[in-house]
Amino acid sequence: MASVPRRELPVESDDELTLVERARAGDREAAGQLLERHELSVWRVCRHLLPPGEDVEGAVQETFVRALDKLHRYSGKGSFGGWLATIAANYCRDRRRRGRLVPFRSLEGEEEDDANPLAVFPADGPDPERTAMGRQAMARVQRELARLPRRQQEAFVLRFFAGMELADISAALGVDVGSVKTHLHRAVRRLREQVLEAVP
Amino acid sequence: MRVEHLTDDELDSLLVGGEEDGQAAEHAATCLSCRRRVGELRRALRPDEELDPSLATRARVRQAALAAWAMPQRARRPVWWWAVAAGLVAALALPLLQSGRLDSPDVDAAEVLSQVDTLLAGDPVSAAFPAELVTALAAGQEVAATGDAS
Repeated sequence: MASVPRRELPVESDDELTLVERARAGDREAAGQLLERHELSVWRVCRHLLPPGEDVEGAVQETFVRALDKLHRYSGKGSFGGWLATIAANYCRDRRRRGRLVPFRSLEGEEEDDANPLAVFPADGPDPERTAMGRQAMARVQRELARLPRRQQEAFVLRFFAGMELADISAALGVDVGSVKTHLHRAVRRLREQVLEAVP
Repeated sequence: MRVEHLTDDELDSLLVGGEEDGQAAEHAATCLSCRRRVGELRRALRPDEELDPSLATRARVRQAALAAWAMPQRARRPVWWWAVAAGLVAALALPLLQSGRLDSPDVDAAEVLSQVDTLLAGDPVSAAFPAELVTALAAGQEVAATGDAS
């Protein structure tokens, strides 16, 4: 049982393969449907894996264009969403390598970062104190995620934000499933510590 | 049924997913304390929906990608690509243009060499330097010769 989100819209795999076939034949509507089903994962992957200051919107668009250009290479073995997220992760890795950017987060930026994630937890929940702590935990996770080693960060984002299976992540990162699990365990341990500090 | 609470490693395994420890999963499903712990962690580790783009932004980016996909790849090249290409073409074409302009008439090499020999044999300094300089040098030599004699 995995808790990660599987798909953004309920789809049958046959239905998805049909869409892929139609898109390969140049059907723009089918291509649009495919992108729409999985676009949130791509946005999240780009948002978390791009170097700071990079254009997320441009990265998402570039990922989509690359994916559509390479549709003939999609074998249909793994999920289409996972394949798309892998293209996004590869693009982000290229950008990071090209820019040779060192992760940097200003103190000012951290304060701003704290503000947004808090709203995910409803303020009018049954236990306001617990809810507030949960919000703080999420903010800490978001901040700590940016400090993880690259492999752990990629594995975590692909698993928890793009909902990919371990085998698909293994193929995306070019490592065996055991290594993916190790990366994920290390990432989760570090992030869990942050959560427990906020929610004792 | 197992009564001990989940260890940190078991908790991490539940969060990571994949192969599961059946006993740990069963305990997490029935123990209120562990279930709450797992739930809080899952909430904290999920994507931050507040940072997701609006539907309008998502649609705009999707449509832009579809429009770019519909274009031939050549037309999608960025401005910098065209600038670099133009620079390369100019760099390659310049030597060719220059060699075209230096289109010299046919010359008789033996004749030229003969003229050079004659010139250098007669007065090499006059051949190599302007007449004013040769005159000045000759005057200087005369002055020096007069001084030495006196």
